[in-house]
Amino acid sequence: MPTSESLALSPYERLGGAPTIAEAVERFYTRLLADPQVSGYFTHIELPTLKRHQAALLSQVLGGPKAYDGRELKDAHRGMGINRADYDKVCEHLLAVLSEMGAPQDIADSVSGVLKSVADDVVERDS
Amino acid sequence: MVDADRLKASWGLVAAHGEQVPLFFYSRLFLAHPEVRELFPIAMASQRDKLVRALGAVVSNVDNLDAVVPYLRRLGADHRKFGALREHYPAVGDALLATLAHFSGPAWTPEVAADWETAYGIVAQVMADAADEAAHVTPAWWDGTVVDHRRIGIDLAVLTVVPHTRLDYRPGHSITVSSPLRPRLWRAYSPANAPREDNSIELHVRLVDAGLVSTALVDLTRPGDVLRLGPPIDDNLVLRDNDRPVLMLAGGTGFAPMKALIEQLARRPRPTHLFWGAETTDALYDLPGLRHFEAGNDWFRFTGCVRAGYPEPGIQVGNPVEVALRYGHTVGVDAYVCGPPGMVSAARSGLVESGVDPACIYFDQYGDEEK
Repeated sequence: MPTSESLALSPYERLGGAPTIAEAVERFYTRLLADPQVSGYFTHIELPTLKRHQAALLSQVLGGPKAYDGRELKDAHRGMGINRADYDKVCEHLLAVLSEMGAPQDIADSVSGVLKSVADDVVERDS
Repeated sequence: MVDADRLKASWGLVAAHGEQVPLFFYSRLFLAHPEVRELFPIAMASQRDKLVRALGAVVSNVDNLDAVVPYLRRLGADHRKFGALREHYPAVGDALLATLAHFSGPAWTPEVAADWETAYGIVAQVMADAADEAAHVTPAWWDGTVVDHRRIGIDLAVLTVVPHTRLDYRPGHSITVSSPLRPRLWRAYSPANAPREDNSIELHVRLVDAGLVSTALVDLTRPGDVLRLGPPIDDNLVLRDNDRPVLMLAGGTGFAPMKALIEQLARRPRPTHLFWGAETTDALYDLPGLRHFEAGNDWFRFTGCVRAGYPEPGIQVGNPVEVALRYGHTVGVDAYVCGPPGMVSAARSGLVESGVDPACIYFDQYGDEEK
């Protein structure tokens, strides 16, 4: 009998899979490190590990294969004192990267909505 | 207390966003609680609309949650095979509420939020409790060895699987099956036999276009392979204990649960008429067996229904619903229906029109979709 086993493409697949994600993460961190408002968060961090985590997380959030083995979002950001403006700025960079890489609008909207909805897990200060 | 109408209206608003809803939910879940990803299949495509369907089922019964408790208990016990634990439920609830809030926009009032929180709390509690209770008596899944794999035509296989430890089920139940070739993907099938001494289970598997599990089971599985079997689910087609005549309407592999029911009925016969539909006579893959059985059991009648071809003894042209309404006795029957969703809904409306009590029509509510 007919089922829902059909293979609707995930956003991950529509974006072009692993190569696109890897490229997006590269561009994302290039932007973050070049932006004095937020670069401070990343200077004392082992960047290759962070990039690997970010690529894995992005992949699984976009419906790609499971790969992320890091911590919960909340635990991973606890005690970093991230404020809302900086969080928004980082999100803006990610969305800008997606846009410059030609991500369809519905995927961009969905990513933007999801990022907004998890803000409270990351942000610890309102100013 | 949950305001049922308010909750339904809220769900209607959210569900109108279609496939955006599960997409947002899983993104939110996997971003905030990445460790939960492990419980889900590698390919998420088939997973997405399950959430919406399950939620829809709960919401549409929210004024009578007692009615869905058995379903939720089975669902909870069944979820053990995915590795779902009590501590995962808050993560899912968190993502669910965030998703509902996102799509509700300004309609997300504190009252609506409280309704959803209460409703989810009940669902999670029932499922987690059932899982804990089940953990005392049954394993999370059974390993079973394929002892026979028979290919029929181009798109069907009949598998015989022997669970390594006793798997109790009733005719009409479904069990979910997963192949090691498709980790964490499960698909429900109804055993085509009443429970046997040797515990073996016959499964009729139709190849579904691009279906990950069914392709593995039909094309790639060989005798000796070990499959995982989930606990029995779905009481819908279990034989009701009474003396009423039985009318069976089956389409394609919807024949499987009917075959199990017929084996059960043979122990305590009552008038039974099976209408089984397929494209052509060749696709009625158990025709000789059924004719032989019919010849030896005067309480049982079988009518094959084909879309293309000519009538011949025991075979009519038309779908099983039409044919049954033309030739069958529908007065005072218990009707059991299993087939594609279109057939099931046509059967229900046709039977009710012909005077069958809607309460006496039993059907597999979810087709045989993945569960």
